[in-house]
Amino acid sequence: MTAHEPSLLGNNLPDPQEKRFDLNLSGRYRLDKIFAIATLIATISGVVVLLLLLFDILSDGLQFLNWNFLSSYPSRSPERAGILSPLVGTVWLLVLTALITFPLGVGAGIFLEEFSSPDSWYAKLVEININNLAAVPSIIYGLLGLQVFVRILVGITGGRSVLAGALTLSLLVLPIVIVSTREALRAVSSSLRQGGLALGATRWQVVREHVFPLALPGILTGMILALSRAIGETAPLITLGALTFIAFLPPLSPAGLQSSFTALPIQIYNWVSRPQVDFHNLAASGIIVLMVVLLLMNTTAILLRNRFQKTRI
Amino acid sequence: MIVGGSTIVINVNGWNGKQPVYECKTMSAGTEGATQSNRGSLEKRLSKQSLLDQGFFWLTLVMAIGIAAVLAFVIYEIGRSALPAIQTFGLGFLFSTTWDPVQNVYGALPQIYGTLVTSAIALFLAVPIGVGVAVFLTEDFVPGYIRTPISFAIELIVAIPSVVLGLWGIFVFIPFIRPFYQVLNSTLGWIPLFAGVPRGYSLLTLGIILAIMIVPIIISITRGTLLSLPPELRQGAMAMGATRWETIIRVLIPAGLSGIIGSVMLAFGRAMGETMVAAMLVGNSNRISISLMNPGATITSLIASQFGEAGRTQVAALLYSGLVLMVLTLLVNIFAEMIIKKFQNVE
Repeated sequence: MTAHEPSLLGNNLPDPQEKRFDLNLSGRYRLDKIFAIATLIATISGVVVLLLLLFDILSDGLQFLNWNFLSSYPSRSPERAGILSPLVGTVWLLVLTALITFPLGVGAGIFLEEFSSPDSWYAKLVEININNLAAVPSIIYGLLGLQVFVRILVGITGGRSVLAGALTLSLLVLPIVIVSTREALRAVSSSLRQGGLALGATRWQVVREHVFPLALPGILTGMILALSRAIGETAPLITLGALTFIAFLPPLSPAGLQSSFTALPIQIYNWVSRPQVDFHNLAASGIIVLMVVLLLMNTTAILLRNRFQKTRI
Repeated sequence: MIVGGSTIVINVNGWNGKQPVYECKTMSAGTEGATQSNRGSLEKRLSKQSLLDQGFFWLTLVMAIGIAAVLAFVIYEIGRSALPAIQTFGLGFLFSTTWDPVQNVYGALPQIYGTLVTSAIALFLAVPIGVGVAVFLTEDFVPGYIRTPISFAIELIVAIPSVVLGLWGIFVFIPFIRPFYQVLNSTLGWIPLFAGVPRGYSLLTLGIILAIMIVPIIISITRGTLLSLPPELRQGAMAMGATRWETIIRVLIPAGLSGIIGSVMLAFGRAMGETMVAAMLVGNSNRISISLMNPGATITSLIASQFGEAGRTQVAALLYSGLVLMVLTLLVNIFAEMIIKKFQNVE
């Protein structure tokens, strides 16, 4: 009996270990392969969706896209319809939104990042509020804009005007501007600040002369992304009551701020909801214009950011 | 952090007691310091600078607090406008299925149900794809010259306006997906989720398009999280003989879980609040159907489709439903932040 013991040990013990190891290895490599393929498929499907979308819109919309389309007003007949007034309206909204959000958003970002200590109660309160503000659905801003900017502040905005629209969109994108400003400021190395302060500069001087110029590319990237979000937004403008048939351009004066307006996404939405196929193709042409503007803005933002990230390191 | 650190530096070098001031309280203490008369002009310049500094501090403080006050103002204003409906219908609004502008009786249960169901479908589809793509783009499966254009293209999906996706859904996606719905319905029709007559404008269609919209959000945040993980984790796991899959599943994803869950919750909030796609694709039918292939409604589609021609009580009811939506998204967002904070503390 005793003679069997060593042989039992000798035969059996290494065996299961080897087996466990061998069996798993090929299986594990197979899993590895499957996983690699699965992630590849996921990635490709994302890209394919984008390409399909672009292709489909191009094939529908290119036939209507010419200079006439860009330079004439919306019309009842598809052959004569154009997007001049929505395009100009979008530019108005864009410029006004940028003018409102840049000082406010960048100022708030500088305060949170440079001036307030992160442990103070008001900095925490502001931070929580801004994070939640970013999560409020856009249509809620539309409802708010209607109540406040169109009804209550009618004396300033002149009702359903381009100013009311720009104020509503500003509310919508402010959190984005603030968050990206803070990130850009955070990326500036703190030795710069300490060096400036050590030489006797005030905080204002340090921010103005050193920190802000370095953070500017990052801040601009955030601004561009925020504005591209603002251009594409439709829901708040619809609740706000932007019109769809506007055959005039707002005058380039303070009075222009109070004139009624339309914007590209609204015109597109309006064309889609018509039964005639020609209008659907017009909508596709409008989308091409909108997407070209948007893709240009986003490409600029992404390139700017990549460049900024490279020089930072 | 930075500010605290530099205070110490300045205190050491404080050559004339004119230190930059960090708290408003210490401002008066700072102006007392200088005594020497030959520094008069410098003194003047410094006091001007410190005034500028203080002015700038207060200006940005007012901006920051003003923006924070906007959230409170939004809630107050929407709540005030919805007050008539809240008083009339009370909490029963959340559990009633009637939406009758003629009788002025309103309840939003089908819309709340539709909002939650479509967002859930979107998450169910978008989370595996989003996390998968993020892993693919961070873990060196392919060389950089392939990876960069792909991530570039995916970031551009974010730029597509929702109205464009809605259009694409109507003209391309619905005709394309209809045969698949038929097959799904005839093979899996015994499951209540796929029962009934399959329709193009349905909860499922909206869920799929919403998934396309939120995938980039999940990808970008998850990718950032995975990139920020210390390389020792990867190296350690590999050195222990783990395969790439095991490294990712057992080490990297658990380590980056806070960021991933945070991105998922943010995407959830975004899906719930999406308006144009919902209004264009969900079919706007005021009923609760278990089957995902039937039309439904979401809170956002309800507001978008009825707000234009609503009467007084109806507007109040719509604002009430808007308030419900806002509370839902805020809850999701706060929950997301809590999860992120909690996991960060554990690390």
